[in-house]
Amino acid sequence: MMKKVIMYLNQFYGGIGGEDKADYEPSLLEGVVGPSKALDDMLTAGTVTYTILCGDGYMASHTEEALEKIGRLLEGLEFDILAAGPAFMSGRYGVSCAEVCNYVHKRFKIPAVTCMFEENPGREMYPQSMYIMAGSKSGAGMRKDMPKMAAIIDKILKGEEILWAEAEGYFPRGFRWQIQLPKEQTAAKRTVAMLKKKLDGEPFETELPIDAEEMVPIAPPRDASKSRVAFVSTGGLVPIDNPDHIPSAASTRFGRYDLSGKDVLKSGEWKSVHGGYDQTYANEQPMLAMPLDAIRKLEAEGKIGYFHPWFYTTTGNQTNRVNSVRMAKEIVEYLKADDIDTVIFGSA
Amino acid sequence: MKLEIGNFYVKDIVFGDKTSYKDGILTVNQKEAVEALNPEGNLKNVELYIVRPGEKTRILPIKEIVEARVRPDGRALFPGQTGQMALSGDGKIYALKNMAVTAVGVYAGNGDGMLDMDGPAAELTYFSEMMHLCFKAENTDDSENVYNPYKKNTYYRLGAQLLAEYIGKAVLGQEPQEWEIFDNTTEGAADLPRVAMVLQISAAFVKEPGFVCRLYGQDVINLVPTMLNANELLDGALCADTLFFASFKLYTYDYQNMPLIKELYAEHGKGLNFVGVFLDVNPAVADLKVRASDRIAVMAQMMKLDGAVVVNTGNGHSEIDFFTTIIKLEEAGVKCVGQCMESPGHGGGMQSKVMLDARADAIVSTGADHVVLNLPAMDKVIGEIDSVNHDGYPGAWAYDPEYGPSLHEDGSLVVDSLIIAGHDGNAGWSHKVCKSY
Amino acid sequence: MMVKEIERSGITVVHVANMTAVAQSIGSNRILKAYSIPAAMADMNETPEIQAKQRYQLMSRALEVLNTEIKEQTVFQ
Repeated sequence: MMKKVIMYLNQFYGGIGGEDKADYEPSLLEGVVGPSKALDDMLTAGTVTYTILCGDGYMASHTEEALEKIGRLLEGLEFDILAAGPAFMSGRYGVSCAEVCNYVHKRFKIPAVTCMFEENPGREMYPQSMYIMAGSKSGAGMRKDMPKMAAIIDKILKGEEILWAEAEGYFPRGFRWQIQLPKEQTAAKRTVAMLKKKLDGEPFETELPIDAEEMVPIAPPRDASKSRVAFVSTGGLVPIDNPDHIPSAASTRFGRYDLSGKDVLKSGEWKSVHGGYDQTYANEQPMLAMPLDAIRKLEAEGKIGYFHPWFYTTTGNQTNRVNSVRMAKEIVEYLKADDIDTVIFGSA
Repeated sequence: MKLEIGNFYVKDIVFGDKTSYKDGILTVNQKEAVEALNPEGNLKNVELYIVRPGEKTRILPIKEIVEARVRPDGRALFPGQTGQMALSGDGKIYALKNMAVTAVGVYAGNGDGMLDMDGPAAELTYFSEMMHLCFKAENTDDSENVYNPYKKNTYYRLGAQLLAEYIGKAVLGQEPQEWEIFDNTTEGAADLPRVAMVLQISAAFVKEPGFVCRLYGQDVINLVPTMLNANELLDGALCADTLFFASFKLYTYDYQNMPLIKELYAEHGKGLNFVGVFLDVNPAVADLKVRASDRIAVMAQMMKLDGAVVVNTGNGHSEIDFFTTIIKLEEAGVKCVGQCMESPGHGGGMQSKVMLDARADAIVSTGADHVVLNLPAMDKVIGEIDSVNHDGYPGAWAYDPEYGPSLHEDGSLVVDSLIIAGHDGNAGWSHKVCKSY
Repeated sequence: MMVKEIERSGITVVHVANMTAVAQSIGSNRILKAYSIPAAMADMNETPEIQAKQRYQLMSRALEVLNTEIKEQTVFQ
């Protein structure tokens, strides 16, 4: 039986119109148009039943409403996968595709596939919610991009194993899985072969690609006596019963604990759950991880203008980029709500 | 230095009256063997077992794995450890191939592992492809007969080393079937790029001696990075720790047979000039990490290195040493290739290493050290199956909210691959790799 | 990575960490070196009284670092 695919297109590719129609609100078309027809023709395991159409401008300026509306349009429909794009180098379209894929994936628990150029800002928004095929820079690449989307959609619909990013042509989603090579390809052989290439100035390919860390603009210096200060930590200190079940490594959540009325953190009331070091020191003296007594003293001396009453804490070891960024954004929301402009950040 | 290893292939091991080697059959006198491994009676109820690949046998908790060897000139197999101090790495030594000597206990800790000789876990480690002459024993030191992850296992480790030496004596007076020659004085290498291996060993992390590697019999807890001839490493200078986890640690057997050294030797005089091994350490304090990486970089400059293979064998903050050493070496103009296991976790989504730095632009991955394994029951267990219920046994657990207990009533297991001895193959054995998904 | 995301929002952050190499690798800008991994805020081998003084000194230094103009990623002692 053919599986059902729904595809998302912007106003331009959906045939609604150009930039003048960018504020077009989401609508649902039964059947196919333009790229969704092309996709439908290529698929062997599925058929495109509906096409969602939405203007890029509307999605950008009314994201939440647009997504909610799309959710309502899809409610009650049967479908197995969402396709979106391809978006090429179009930033607004790429971001729209990523937003819709993420939303539909989470709301309807189905896989989502899109396609865009590597520098499209939509690429890094929700890497684990979808497969983003590495696509062309401009619309002239449609003929190259569409077969890539069709190929992976067919594989997903047939329940075939999805191989690693390079083999399938999608951008890495932040997962690493182990595979077995032929037995004779030992790490010793691979290591020495790579070293010889590097010594000879020949091209070589690392097996663990590491992105260069992008730097953020340096925030201005602040006089703490005139600032609003908070303490955030990845040292793993939590209340003794660990009420939020902060894990010892690879954390996906943080705890937020009230320090109001406290001048010290006492042994027996707090403990460290950090799995990366010997926890006995922090268990005996929690202020080796969160120096509240020192902070209170500085506050009393007027050297800290205002101290935020909540302490934010998680474990930092082996927490991946996606979760770190998300947790930090959530913490920033709390901090901004209290006009915090200065943070002391403790870690191992 | 010129090290000549004479290999004797063992087709089978049997128990018998006289410890001897004839026509590929190793016969072991059990009483003598037990006396040899336990000279001072620090272990009790010592029993010997023979285990072969393909048998439905599970061995745990494993404390040490050693290759049986002997020196025809009478020097100790592990100088400073099993006998008098003497320089190793030069001269002749005999080795018994296709087998290992393996110490098994009752209570498990950080350094302990497991082997299945059949089933899915047997596919994951080279140690399941060889015969094991195991001894199982209890410790007379009651402070170690408790649920505590930090165990020194002193007499288990020494026992395996002593038993390996005793068994090695069975081939004395016979001619080996083949010779492996490791000669780093080979002419013709002088003009080639100068390359060293930087090997991280278990050297710190704990405050107290007794857990980490031993270099010529001495605990290396306060070791400052030093330089060895690669032959010394192949020849018993270094004995394994009991702190790093079974999947990623190097056993004494690994040091004796290190594929990375053999591969570098294979290129010595052809594409490179293999000058030696630097030992890197893993202290828990930043200044000592900096000092260690600085020392490695200074030694590299003094040795006029062009390139280095940098090997990561510990997880957690030991990964920081791995990266900082690579960065310091690269800054000193030494082109590095790192080799490490990754820890993306059960969901595959954890950051692979505690620290990542793009200046480490050439890394070989030995695979993932956390893979959930469902393993069938085995017909026979050597050791103590209940050890998987002991807290602090890496890769096994008494209870887990997602997986339940590791040990099921029918004897089957759900474990993390951290428990599989040699799973990551960090000595260079691994044919696994992690890919980005 | 969390430090960087907090700073991205315009908040000035001092990252107090013993493993300064890791702090550098994840793109923190103002880094203040702490005592050790298991006990960042004071010397784990010292008496409680001295540890309390060390915590106060370290936090005072953190406030100085927060109020220091920097041009590039900087590790403070």
